[in-house]
Amino acid sequence: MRWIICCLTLMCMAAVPMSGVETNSPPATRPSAAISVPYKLTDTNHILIRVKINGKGPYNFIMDTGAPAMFLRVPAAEKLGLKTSKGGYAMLDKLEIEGGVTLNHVQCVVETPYQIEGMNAIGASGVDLDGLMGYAILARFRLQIDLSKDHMLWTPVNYVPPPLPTVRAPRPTAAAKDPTDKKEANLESMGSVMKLLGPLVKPKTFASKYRGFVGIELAGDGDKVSVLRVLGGSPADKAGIEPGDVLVSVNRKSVHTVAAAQDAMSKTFAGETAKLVLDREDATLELNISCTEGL
Amino acid sequence: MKTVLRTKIALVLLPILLALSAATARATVPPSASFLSRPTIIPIEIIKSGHIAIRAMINGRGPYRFIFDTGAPTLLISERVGKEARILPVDFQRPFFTPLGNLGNFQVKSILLGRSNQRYLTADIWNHPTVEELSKMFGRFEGLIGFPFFAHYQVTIDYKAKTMTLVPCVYQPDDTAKKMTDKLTQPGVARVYLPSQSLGIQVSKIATDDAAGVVISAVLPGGPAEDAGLKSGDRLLTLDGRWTDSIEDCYAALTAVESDRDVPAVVLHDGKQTTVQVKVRPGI
Repeated sequence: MRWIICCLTLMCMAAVPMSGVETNSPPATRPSAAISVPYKLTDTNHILIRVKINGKGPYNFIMDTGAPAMFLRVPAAEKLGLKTSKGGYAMLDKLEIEGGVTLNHVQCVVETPYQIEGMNAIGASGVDLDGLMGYAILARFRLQIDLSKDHMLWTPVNYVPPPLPTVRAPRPTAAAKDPTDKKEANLESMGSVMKLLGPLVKPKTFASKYRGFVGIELAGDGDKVSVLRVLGGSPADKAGIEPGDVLVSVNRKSVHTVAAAQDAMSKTFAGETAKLVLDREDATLELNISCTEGL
Repeated sequence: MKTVLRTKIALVLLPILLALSAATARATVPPSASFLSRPTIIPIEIIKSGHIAIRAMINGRGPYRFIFDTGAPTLLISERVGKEARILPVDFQRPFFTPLGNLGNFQVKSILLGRSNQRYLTADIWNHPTVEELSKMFGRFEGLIGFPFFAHYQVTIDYKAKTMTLVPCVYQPDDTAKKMTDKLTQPGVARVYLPSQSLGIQVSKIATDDAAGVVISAVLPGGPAEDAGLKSGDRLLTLDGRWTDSIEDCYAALTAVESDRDVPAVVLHDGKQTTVQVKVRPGI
């Protein structure tokens, strides 16, 4: 009898033929309190979490109840120097999940799910993906997902899921006799198609731009915006802005609220110049501020 | 010219991508708020492959058995249920071209799990090979319940207790296909970080530094970080529970802080790890 455990997942939710993973180690996390796990929703509407493996990373994983185990992309595993067993498993000394989850001695499957390969090829999700976080890890927690919040709550439940069957099935090929296998193979081949065409549309890098930093704390009274504090050594300080100055306009937009001032700065990035107009007693100051990086 | 080429290639790739992702390609009627705001607790079955099986009523028919999949950006429903629950029009003709067997997107009037009902969601009618494979091994499944359904709820999955709790939440999901189309036709758009709050620090990380955290290269006098006792040279490890292993991480973590409040920062100071609360302030 063939014994394929399929992994419904991702874009295509098609099979990553695989077996489960034996997980005999007890969870290292203290039972009890909920852990706040930050996540990001990708452009493909996947829940992205970040993990560190043996202290290295972070790596981008999709939280996927449709995957039976933790899958790690082969190049990442190689870079980590993980020893992979014959069945394709590797033992991780330490697995950390952003927000404060730490698990010791957990197994993962070293394999590049073709969906991940396909999505990475065209940059569909906005970041490079390193793997899938599935049942073998997820089941140790009570998981609360609420997309109206910027974090999930994972509560350790002192439970290690029973091992899944561990027989590995060969990948279906297009030459398969079984029509279902054939269809699956076709689905998998789409990963390669995307890999082939992907470089033509993929953004070269996932560039980032940062708010231009002026270095003033602001307070609004509903009508006008005042400078509360000027941070020492900041561009504002160098330009001579003082606490108590009233911010009249930013980049030629008059501002009456702190949010409006921030909005008027939303297209001025680090290294660029912002035009500020401030009132101080009877004088009006018109300043060109060279914005830096700064938090 | 380059843009034209990109758009053309994107148009070729999109159908493939959508066939793979089975995403919703059709404009949908905004889903109504759920019937009831009381939590629904439904039993889940963990099948031998580790998947979560649930039972759902489709357009008042069923219950049918589905896989609940947080990794699925779409809803998938089998052709059989498509016909039986009248998702497919009565006079439906199989199209000549069905990418990998996908019959396309159709509107489902109602998907009911326990007492949690969502109306007017778009689903792909597709005998998905993987679902078929799972059906052979673990009993009949009629598809996948993914993002378009669960995004409307605060979902609590308890594998140990074998329950799932659904409470309606205010999140309004957007259209996966539209997001991806935008992405493919307007490539290279930078991620922009516009934190509304200030910490009063500058951070740096040299290329050869692959240890956790970033170096606080300056603590600006008179700012929140100085108030909290952070020192130049400290290593910032996390901000508000998020790892700060790169400059971008720092911006991402601060951008997620939406109002002036105490934000926990974990720092290494003289080799010792401490947590300080920094009261961030609005500014520019």
